[in-house]
Amino acid sequence: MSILKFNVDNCKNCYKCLRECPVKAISMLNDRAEIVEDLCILCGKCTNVCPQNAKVVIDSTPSIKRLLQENSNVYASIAPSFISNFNIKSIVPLRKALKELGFKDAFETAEGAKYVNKRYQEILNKKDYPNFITSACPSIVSLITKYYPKALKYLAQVDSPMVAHGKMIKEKDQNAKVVFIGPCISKKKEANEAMVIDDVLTFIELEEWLKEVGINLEILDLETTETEINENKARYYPIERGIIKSIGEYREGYDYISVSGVEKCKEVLSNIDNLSDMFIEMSACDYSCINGPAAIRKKGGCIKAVEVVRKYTKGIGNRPVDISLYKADINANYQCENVGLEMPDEATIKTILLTFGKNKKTDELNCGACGYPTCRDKAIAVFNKMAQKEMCLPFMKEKAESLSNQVISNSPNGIITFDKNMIVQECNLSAQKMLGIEVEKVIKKSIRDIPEMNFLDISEITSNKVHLQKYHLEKTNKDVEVSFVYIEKQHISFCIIRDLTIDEENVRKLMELKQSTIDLTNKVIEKQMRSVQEIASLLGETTAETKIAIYNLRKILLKDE
Amino acid sequence: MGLFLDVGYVSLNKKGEELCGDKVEIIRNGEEMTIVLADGLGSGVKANILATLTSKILCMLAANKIPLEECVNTIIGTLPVCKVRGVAYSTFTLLHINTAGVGYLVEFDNPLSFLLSEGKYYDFDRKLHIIQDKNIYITNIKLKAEDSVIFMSDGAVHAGIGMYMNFGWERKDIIDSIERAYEPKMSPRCLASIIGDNCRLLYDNQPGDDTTIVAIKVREEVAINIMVGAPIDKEDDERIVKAFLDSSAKKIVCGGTTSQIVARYLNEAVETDYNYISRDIPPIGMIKGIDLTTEGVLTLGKLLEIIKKYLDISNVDVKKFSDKDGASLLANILFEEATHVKFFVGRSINNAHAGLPIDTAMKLKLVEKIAENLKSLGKEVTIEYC
Repeated sequence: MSILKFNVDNCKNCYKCLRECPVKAISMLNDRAEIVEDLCILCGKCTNVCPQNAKVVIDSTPSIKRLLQENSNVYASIAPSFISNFNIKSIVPLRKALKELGFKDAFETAEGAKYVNKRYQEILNKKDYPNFITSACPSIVSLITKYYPKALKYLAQVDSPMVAHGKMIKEKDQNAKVVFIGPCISKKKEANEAMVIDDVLTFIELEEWLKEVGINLEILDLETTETEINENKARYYPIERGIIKSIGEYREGYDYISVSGVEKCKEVLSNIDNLSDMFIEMSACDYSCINGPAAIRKKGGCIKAVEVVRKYTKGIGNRPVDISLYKADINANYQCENVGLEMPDEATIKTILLTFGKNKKTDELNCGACGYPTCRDKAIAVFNKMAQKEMCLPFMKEKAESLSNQVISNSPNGIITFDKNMIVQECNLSAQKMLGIEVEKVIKKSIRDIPEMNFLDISEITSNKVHLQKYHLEKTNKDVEVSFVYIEKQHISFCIIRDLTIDEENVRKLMELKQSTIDLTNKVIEKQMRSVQEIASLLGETTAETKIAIYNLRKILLKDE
Repeated sequence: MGLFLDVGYVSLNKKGEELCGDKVEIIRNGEEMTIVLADGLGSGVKANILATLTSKILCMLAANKIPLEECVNTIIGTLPVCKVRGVAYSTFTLLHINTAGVGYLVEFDNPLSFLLSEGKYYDFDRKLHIIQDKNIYITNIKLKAEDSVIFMSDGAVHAGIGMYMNFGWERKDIIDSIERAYEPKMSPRCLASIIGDNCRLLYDNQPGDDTTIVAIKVREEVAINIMVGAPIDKEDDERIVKAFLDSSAKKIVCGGTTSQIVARYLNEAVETDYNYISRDIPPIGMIKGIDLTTEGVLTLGKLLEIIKKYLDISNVDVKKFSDKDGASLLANILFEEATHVKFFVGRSINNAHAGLPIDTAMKLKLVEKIAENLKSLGKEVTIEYC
């Protein structure tokens, strides 16, 4: 059962989880981020950085409620950082609250931690370890067993305080069930594997639960008169250098160093062979457990939390807690886990690199935008089907830019883009030619300051509609058709200018031709009509002349008779 | 001095028609004149052919003294029968008159003519003859100076039907308007234009039928002498000017040099009259004893321009020339007033024209054109070159 759940709907492909993951245990295929369980060390970084809350820790509250229903002796083991997670003076009010929830009793895991310290001392006295790495943090244990097998020999083969405490409680009460309550999600996996812990509740889940039931810890705290009598230095565990502080005697021959945060630990672990006589307290979380992924964030942040833990550890109790009677065996057996990605051969790597635009060494920017530190790592991830070439930001950017750039630069239509204040952003070559302008003179200038663009009537523009208009440009004597588009969402607008001059000229020529043909036709008609008139006139004339001649002839002929 | 027979007419096409269905034919034979107005059946080309044939045949036959019955026969025999209507038909009005004022009037199916004496309408008896089944009125007439005859086609009396007036204007209205329009010295063309314009107005600029108005006026002769340009030979100056001045005709002098010559002969000065300033035409001058003195080539050129509309029979806008610039005054005297015009044309080369796109040949051409136009209006024109 996965401890970290992944909400597909929320994932927006920003790659932030992959970028933050110290071991790149997230695969991005088909634009879905998925945690690869084998590779994951459950440090919880991805959960906290995901801006879309696409990753959630599985909620153990229901299963614990069930456990309490079915069992009467369920004990709570409370992580020492409880004091900085809740506004209480000691464990007393918390114990009360837990009892109300159904727990039989509640004890501080710090007891287990003291037991672990005892074991550490024994080991250190034997001087077996050239370097000594604490194993209280399960994420660090995972890190070493999965990724730094060389450091395994330095890892203290000792149970974590949680496991130790569980064994202690069950030593006392055979039928006991133990629930660990802490700021850690890695503990959930550790509990599954160790089996001595029956379930793990996070402080966040506990807070929810108490709210749901209506128990107010702060009020309980005010009402409490009892105070904690036990004193325990192991309560320093959850802060940086806390383990070292709690040990007490500093064995000679060792340097005592505290390293927090996975990246720092990775650095130390990769150099471990060159170190010697180091006692290294390692925790996966920066600032150690008080900054665990499931800790309740309080005002004052980590520094305040550190102060609270210190005050508490120093100030409470007057009688050291007694762990002398416990005999539980808390030796661990951390083994190497063979995980890791399959390594492709060099040729394959080169081929993969080519697919996202890395032709030569200099193309390998190693920018980390995709989440992988180097392009080669990315190529290996692609080979292992954990990544896609589309994740390469410079590659995609170049692809998009170059394609659209080519289109815009070479378009036979003029293209001009404006920002929301109508300041010219781009003006392609065709636009420059059509308007008769030089790009240097118009870039970053307002459309109102450019006389050649004054013809654009932008008062009528409405959003998301294409505004089409014909214009005649004086300067270049061209007829153009302008489509003006205003995109409200991005607050940009652009216009596409189409040169109609040739079309218009053809239309004009055709009109002229038609007109001259009509004129010609009219002339022909006119001429014809005139001819008709003249003919009629001539006909009349000849008729009359004939008539006159014949009449006169007749007169003469008749006269003779 | 005989009487001069002056004619003027205007013709408006039916709206939308290229050709007019009315035709006027005028023939002058020495001392006689024959005028025919024919209105062809229908409109357009067909009507035009009918009208043209009728007017041409009738006018020629009547001018050659062929008896009327014969004329009518000829026409009936010649006119082409309209396929649509099945008839061949054209109306006509004919006037034959001589310079003594004696003649006859024939009217067939056109609106009855109007006779005026000094601008006053008078009725007369018409005699009805039936020729070839047609009702034709024949009337003998005797006219004296300042008498006018006006005939018009159907289109004129039907003007305004259904528009401004329900039944068109009636005969008494027409008489009324003619009498009001008439002025003693008015040319017949001017009178015809006025009546034509009235018809156009009644038709609201869209004539429903071809409209023609013909006006004939018997006038006393009015002679004009006009001198243009200096004689080619300076020696001839005196002789020519003397001939020019020795006449009871009105005298017009055109041109700066010419004015100087005439003025010198008369011992007078040439003064410039600045009373009326025109943009395109040089101001007129004044010489005592000369009726009108103008500048030369430019004025003559302008004269031709303004005459164009006057000569266009379809133009009823121009009635007379009321402007006071040199060209308008010249036009008035020559075209409205004159009946006989004599040109004295000097062909000398004018040094003032050197370098300008004007030359003597151009001046001569202008004069010839003006003379031609005057002739086309029926005026007697002579040109003497010197």
